[in-house]
Amino acid sequence: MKQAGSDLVIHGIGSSSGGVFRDVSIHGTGRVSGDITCERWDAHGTCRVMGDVQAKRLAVHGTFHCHGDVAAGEMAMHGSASVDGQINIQLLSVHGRIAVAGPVKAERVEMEGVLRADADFQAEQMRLRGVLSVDGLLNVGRLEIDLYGPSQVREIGGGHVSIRSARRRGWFRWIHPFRRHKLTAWVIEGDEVYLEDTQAQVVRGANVRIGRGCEIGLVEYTGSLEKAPEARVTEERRVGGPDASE
Amino acid sequence: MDAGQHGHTDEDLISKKELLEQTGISYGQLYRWKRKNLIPEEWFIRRSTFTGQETFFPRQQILARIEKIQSMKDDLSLDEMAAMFSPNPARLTLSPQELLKRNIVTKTALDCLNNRAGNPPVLTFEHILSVYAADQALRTGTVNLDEAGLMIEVLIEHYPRLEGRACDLLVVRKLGVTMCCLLANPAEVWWDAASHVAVHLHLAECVEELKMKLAQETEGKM
Repeated sequence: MKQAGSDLVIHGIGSSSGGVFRDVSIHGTGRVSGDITCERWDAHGTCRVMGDVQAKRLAVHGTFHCHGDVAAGEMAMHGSASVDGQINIQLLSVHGRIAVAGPVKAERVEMEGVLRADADFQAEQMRLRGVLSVDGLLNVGRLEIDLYGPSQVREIGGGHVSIRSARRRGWFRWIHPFRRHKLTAWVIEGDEVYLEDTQAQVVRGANVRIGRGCEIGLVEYTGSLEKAPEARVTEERRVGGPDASE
Repeated sequence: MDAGQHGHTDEDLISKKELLEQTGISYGQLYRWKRKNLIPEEWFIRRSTFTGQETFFPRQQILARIEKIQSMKDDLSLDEMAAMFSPNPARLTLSPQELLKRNIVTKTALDCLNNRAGNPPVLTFEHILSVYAADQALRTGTVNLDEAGLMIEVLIEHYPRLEGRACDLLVVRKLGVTMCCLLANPAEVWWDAASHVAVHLHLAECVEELKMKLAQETEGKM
């Protein structure tokens, strides 16, 4: 067993069997064939971990593939990451692409790029500019999404849900006329809900605002409902008493 | 997912909408409590209805849970509550004298433990839980001392194996012979007509009650 005080340094191509380290720094291609625990993980290039990763701070520039679970205080990704297990994290910040097979639990998520989650995804706060696909429940206390392409989420739930569509301006909109910015969801539930370019079967909430480009099957609200003139809502229902929103 | 697997009939289920109307909580609160593990994942039961898919909850359990959360949320943080509701054994040990002094279990039930486990000087959470469960059964008068001892034995031996999963404890009699078993949830069992289920304890509820008692007593002392 390695001492918790030693560092792991890989420049070029190298591999490690894992263990407990202080700092891990990889420039080039690194491969860890077991579980690894460290204070700081700093990688530029390509790295692959066959087991679990536990770190206080994880910074990756390039590609990162973990076949196990990731538990970290902070994870900053520039590039592409994929995790086959689950993620448990305080702050997740991604510029690029991340794909997770297991459930994700985070305090705060800041993302620009592409998110793909095959299970439930939860966070207290989340801001995403880009595209997402969540094959489960996206449960976020305060969710802000700027859509930049076709996205789908099975279910969205939380306190504050805001989905805005970044419309292409000028001649850009003629490049991919069929790839509309659109979020498809089965159910969206929250206290304060604002939607643009969203297609959903059911939207439930206290105060609901349906913006342009929405196609909603049923809206159930306890407080107020605002609809943009271009939004399509098949059925709307006010439920509960006037004080039910409190 | 089919509701039949969970063993709930229509009457014991409450829809999410009905739940929010009845308790006055908001979607934000419900989802927040779910994130903090105050409401276990197994209670979210998805079923298709004529309006599409809807989420249902076991009525009794969810209403009791929400009432508890609402009554405790001023005193405890969400994380503290989550620790209390989790079926994981709390990291906690007590001496037998203290357990008696705090009036958590009776002397009779404690004697059963001492007979079976040989006077442990310090009780772990499993010990306390087993005595507590046996005590509950003894108080209702449905089991005798031998059977209470049997419950304790089964719990000490097998409860750690469940690793925090919710389970039920059953004491069954047939033709004067008593059996005791642990049943991991969700599960259903059906007995023949001659068997008689003397005790059916939901251990998750027991754990919750016990943790609450232990917490209250500590507060009271301070």
